[in-house]
Amino acid sequence: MRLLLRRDLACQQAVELVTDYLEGALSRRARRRFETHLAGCPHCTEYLAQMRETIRLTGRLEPEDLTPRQRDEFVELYRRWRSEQE
Amino acid sequence: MDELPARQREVVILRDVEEMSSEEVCSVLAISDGNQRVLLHRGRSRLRQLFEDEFRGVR
Repeated sequence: MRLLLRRDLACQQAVELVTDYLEGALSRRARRRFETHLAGCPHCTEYLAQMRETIRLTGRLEPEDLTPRQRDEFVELYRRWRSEQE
Repeated sequence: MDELPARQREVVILRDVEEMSSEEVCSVLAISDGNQRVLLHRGRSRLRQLFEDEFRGVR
């Protein structure tokens, strides 16, 4: 219970919340706590920036960057999904 | 991408390359919203580490 009542977040906790934060999945209170931590922590601010950069770089991947087996995996996924839609 | 387990890779590619919404990805992979977010977090975190290693010339 003591952890829940603490107002400040440890860096390790903050890092675990980055995706929920970017996804808008945090409660308003958790979001405020996260942003308060960021405001006082250059390391976690940098981590969040790196995470955004990672998403940007991943977005530039082309089909050729995947192995043939990985491409097949996706073709199979789509096929199965579409057959379930019908 | 080879470094990621299949499920993490699928979620990351559908979200960040194919730019599907989280709802679409949950539907395609038949997983819950929470599970989708956990896989996305693990996948992106691993990729972030790999990018960092690469920039630092560790690999």
